[in-house]
Amino acid sequence: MAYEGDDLLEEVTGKEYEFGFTTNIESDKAPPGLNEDIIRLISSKKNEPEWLLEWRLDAFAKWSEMQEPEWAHVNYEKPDFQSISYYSAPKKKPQLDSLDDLDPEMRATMDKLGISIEEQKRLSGVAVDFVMDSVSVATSFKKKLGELGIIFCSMSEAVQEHPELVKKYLGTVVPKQDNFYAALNSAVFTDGSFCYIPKGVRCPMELSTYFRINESGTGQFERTLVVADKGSYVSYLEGCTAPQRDENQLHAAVVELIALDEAEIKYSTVQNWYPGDKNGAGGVFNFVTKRGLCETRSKISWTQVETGSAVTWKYPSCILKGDHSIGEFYSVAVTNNYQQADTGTKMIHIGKNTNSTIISKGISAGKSQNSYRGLVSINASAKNARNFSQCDSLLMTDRCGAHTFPYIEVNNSSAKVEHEATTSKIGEDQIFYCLQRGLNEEQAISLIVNGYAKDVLNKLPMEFAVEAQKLLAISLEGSVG
Amino acid sequence: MTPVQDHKKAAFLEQFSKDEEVLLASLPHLQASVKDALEELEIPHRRTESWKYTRVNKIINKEWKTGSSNAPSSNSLFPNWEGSRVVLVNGFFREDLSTLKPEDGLVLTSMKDASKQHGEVLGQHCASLSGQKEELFEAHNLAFAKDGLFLHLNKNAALKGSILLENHVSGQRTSAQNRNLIILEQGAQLNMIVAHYGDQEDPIFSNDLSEVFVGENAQFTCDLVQSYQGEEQFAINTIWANQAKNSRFTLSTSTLQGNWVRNNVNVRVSGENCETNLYGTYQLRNKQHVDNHTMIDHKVPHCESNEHYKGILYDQSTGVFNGKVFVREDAQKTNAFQQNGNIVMSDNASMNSKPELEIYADDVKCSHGSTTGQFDEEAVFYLMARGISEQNARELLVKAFVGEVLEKIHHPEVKALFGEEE
Repeated sequence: MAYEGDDLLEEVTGKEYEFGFTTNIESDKAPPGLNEDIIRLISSKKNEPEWLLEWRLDAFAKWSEMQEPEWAHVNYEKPDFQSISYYSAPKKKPQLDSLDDLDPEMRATMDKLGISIEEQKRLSGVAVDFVMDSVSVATSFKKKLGELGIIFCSMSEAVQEHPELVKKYLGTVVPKQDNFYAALNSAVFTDGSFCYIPKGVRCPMELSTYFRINESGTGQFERTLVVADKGSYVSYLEGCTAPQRDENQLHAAVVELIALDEAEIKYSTVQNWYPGDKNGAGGVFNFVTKRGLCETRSKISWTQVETGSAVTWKYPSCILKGDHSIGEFYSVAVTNNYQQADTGTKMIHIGKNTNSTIISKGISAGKSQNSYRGLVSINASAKNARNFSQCDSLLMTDRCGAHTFPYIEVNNSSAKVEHEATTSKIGEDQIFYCLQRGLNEEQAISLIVNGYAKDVLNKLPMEFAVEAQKLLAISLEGSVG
Repeated sequence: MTPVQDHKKAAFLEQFSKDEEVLLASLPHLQASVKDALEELEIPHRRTESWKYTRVNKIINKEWKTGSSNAPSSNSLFPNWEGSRVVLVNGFFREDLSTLKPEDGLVLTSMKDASKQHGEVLGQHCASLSGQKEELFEAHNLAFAKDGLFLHLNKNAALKGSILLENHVSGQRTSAQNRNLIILEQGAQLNMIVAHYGDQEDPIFSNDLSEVFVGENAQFTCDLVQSYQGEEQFAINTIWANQAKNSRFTLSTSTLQGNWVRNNVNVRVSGENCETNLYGTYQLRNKQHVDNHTMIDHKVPHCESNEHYKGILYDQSTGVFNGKVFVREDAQKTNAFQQNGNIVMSDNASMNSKPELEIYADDVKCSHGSTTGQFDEEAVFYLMARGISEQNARELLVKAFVGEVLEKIHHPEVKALFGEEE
């Protein structure tokens, strides 16, 4: 596709930022704006079947009638949906036989991000589905997974190769009209990951996807679908980084998890997108819908470490439909400077003897606002349901905010629901103790914060846990209040 | 707002606007804003955050008439009360039924009289706390209230006994809007029992609002008791309080009966070193619905608030608890505690609890907790093993569960309503 004048300008000005880096790869980009034609364009570019186009158009029609939600405890300038380009794909799509064929520039980007594919491949045994902007460019370990019958590929590939699975499960957990951003995503999603674990298979490695928003002015609309068939197990890692940008970028992703009978899905996220500068300019808008459906005796566990984004609006949820199913949510959310986070979870108990645990640790520094918003809903049918929630907040300065908005709805007599929350600042005696033992103040705070968040960090897979601890320390640099 | 809602609201308000002699007539500075609010505010619905779990359609869609001031009052829960007794019937101050004991420094009269004799004080205070610009029912109260209790305690006045305020609403399809104003000057002390009765089985709608100003070093203690006997009785009780420095505000709310009750308790802590205590109990049966909304706004440093609500839900009852604690930017060293405990006894009962914290200061200790569950079966077993019947054991546990809040009630007369011995 030819470049429009504006796009070219954007591309050129985009390179001038002093900090951060952008990858100079020619991209194929749709003109900004959103209408049915753009959706048809995306659909035809991706060579999608007719039913998916219809599905997208229906989602678009529903989205057009929806209002952007305002109930979250965040303030931001609403994105102009007509100025976003909804499709951007690296032009040179490499057909990879070996990593040497990969565009050298992209290789360099990966190196800067610390994701050296061959290293990952050789050392850690992690299969990486690397998503750059919207199209997957490298998928490794596919063969090994293939032998077990595990399907792990990009969403667009899945649409071509496994349409029956995609058609069966897409939009079953997050319907296309679910909410404003989910509807938008349904209409314009460009790619994402698809994962299917067959019956009784235990996935031998951690599956991971690295997201990266790269193209200036392009939103990222990922759609992830993970289906764990009966008795299977999968651990899925999602990590995100974005280079420095001076304009707000919108990220409206949808993640759907389906755990069939006796299956287990562990979904871990480390999110460190560009949070904006010290004065609150720029940063990523992260409006994500994540939801999992649990059938009988299955388990879904969400673990997240949120340190980035200017505005976060994210509630990974579990629908505990099957009897004896288990939902878990472990979260550390750090906000600094002018970041705003409104995050939490929803646990919907429908089946009997369902069990859910929520551990949320919020850390606010600078002038940021950090909110926990959660729903625990026990339906009348959820006999003997059990929930335990703990949401603690730590305040680092006297100009930040920590808020808790838990909704607890209990509709039967055998459920046990507990919620507790505390808010406090780092104890001066704790800092004093550390200083006395020769740590400096930053180290002391990092130590205390890591201890405070330990319950959650322990739930992360090993390689993520190390990264997350570093991230916490970096995010809180210079935040001593 | 949809045209249908608009129409409904207009029809609802129409029933009241026929009356003259409203208090608002003597408060010209508020008239315009009340009129605007009534026009602009929409009927609370499912998506109105503060009314998420409580439906108001049954009030809006019914016909109401203003109650008569001479209607009879029914039985009191406190027949042997010996102190001052103030009786309001259908929102009107009834001197003939009240027994007032004059005391030094106390001005106690009807709002109607106060608007003539104490116009300046009234004008300064009335509606200066309440949220008539945000809440339709508060605007409704201000627009149509005709009377109420005016109580003013002078500097350092401490009453010998407590004051009992009884609100009766009776008569078929009666609506009552009264507005009370309680002002405690510096160092004053006041203990009150406020009782609300929905008399007999008449369908009624009571929209009652009190504003309480607690001056410097003043202490205000109030036990609120609600007993609405009829099925079609709707009651909204709103309390707004403002605390000046070193003051104490303690309120307990006991809902004995109530088919549809909404309690709004809002406390603004505007001075340092204040103490705020809010307690509440509810034991709901049949299809009763009780909604407790509380808000404590800590604006200044060095204050403490305690909040403890406990309830038991039987049959098809529904309960709502929404507690909100604000700690503003400069309110360092605030200690705020909030606890809501519920026992759901039936599969058809439901409880919606929302304990909220909004904190903008760092050197604070704030916590909230909410539990919903059942009795510890082991505790029941323990008692039964000691020769107590299962029913008695459960009754004992109920008592112990609510007991924690009941013991905070100030007046033994109110505790006695729960069969508690002093």
